[in-house]
Amino acid sequence: MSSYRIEGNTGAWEIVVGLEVHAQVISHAKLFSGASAEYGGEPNTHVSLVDAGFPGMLPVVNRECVAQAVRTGLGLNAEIHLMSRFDRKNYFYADLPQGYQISQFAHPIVGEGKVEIELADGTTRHIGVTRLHLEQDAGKSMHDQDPLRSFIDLNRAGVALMEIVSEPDIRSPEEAGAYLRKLRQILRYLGTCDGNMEEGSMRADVNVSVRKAGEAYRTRCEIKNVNSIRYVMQAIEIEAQRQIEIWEAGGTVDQETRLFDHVRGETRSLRSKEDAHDYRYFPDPDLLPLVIERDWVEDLRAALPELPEAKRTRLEQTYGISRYESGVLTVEQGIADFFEQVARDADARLAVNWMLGDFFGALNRTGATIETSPVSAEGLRELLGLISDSTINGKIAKEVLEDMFESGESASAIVERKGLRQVTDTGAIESEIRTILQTHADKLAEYKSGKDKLFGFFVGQTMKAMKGKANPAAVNDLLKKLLSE
Amino acid sequence: MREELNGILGWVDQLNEVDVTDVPPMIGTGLAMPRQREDVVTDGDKREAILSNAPDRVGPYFTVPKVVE
Repeated sequence: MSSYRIEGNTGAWEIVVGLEVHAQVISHAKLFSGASAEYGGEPNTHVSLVDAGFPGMLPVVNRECVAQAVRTGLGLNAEIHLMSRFDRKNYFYADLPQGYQISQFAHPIVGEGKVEIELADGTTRHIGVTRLHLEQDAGKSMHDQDPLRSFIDLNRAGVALMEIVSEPDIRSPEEAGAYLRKLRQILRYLGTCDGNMEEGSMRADVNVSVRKAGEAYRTRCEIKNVNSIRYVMQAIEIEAQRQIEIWEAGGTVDQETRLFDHVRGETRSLRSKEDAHDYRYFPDPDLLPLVIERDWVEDLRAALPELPEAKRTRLEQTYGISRYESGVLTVEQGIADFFEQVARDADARLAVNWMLGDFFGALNRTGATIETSPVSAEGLRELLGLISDSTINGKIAKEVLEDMFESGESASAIVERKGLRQVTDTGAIESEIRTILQTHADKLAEYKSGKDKLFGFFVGQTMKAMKGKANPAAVNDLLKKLLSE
Repeated sequence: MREELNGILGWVDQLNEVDVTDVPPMIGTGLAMPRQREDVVTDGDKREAILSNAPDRVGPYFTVPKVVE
């Protein structure tokens, strides 16, 4: 159990948080129409008469959107309901042309599941998932185009969303962040949502309340539409603080919907909270209950990709890497695939060290991602091969990698062009060392009188004289031998 | 008139005698599998038709009286 507490005037307060995540389903067409679900597009062009709420238009459910919801449910270790139902959630707003949102209220397609999160101190916790249901997105309103009017674009109206509701199991901002990152990672691995919070394809409603240890839940407030993980964490802290101040001043927290203003660092009341009955839910008479077959669910399960936790464990066992390293390498599927291409049948330790070190460093420096990297997995693999077979040493390899990022040439081509082959000829190294010992006779005398630290100085001088191309192990051995003469 | 109404109400009251605790609400008679569509873009690109009934528009957008302050 988390030990996160907020100290008030009356003692320590625990926070209770549940998250409702809206994740846009990856599909070609919308949930109930044949219009494109692609992001962007000229205003009001990805719209069918169904999406625009024209009279007499009938919704027909997109089977792939249902499949995506089932895959996500399976990825969350949740129960899949073979029979679910679509309901109408009635409310009046300009970007909802039907006057109701088709959603799943009483019978969602996915029931209880769980997500395992890992915290900074290495501990893990399970956060319960209450349910996942399918629903339509609304259109987009723009309020800044005209002083008197709002502009409406219906391109997003009717796009499939998954609403993923967590149990109120989250007890700190850190846990909320870890839950959202883990959920996003699972969705991306499954290919059911791109998890892009900036474009709004994943957004969170945050339910926050506070209580004294051991108490029942107190009234919660819902902070709507928070669009980054950092803001979710900030909003929780700020809202909890606000509620504690109210309770401690002898007041009561009203259940309401609030808005997070990250510029002012505050939450503001938006409206008093609606209850379910305010939406007059009822089964949508245009849609039969959604019945799916057990065999189909099992087919989808069999075709699921390897999920983050399983991949992590496999990488640790196959390549002998640490828990931390496996975590970094599995943040994205692309990174794990890249690593496996580099490390397969090669020196895995060398591959991990180079990927987490110089390679990621170079990616960051050039602003590239694993997908846009100018150096391919094959290219990095070749470079590491040159280290393994002693063609070049590690220091020179760093220089070669930088050149690879700039020129796009292969490692071996660069080594040839620049003449960077490692000198392993002990005769050549020995004669270089002898010259250095003569030039630095003073230092040699100091070394002999017990100043051992000067060993590093001689190594440096030798490498410098040989333009960094000497085999470091050979330099060490020969220096030791010659200094003890 | 009053007697007739009381008769009707009494008859409606009889319905309360039936125990429906575990009976799910009936929402229709259709037991067929719903038709499902393939995930293919078959519609859209009909902005003029979509906007044809708009009481007010600016360029490619519907417009409504401003809904925020």
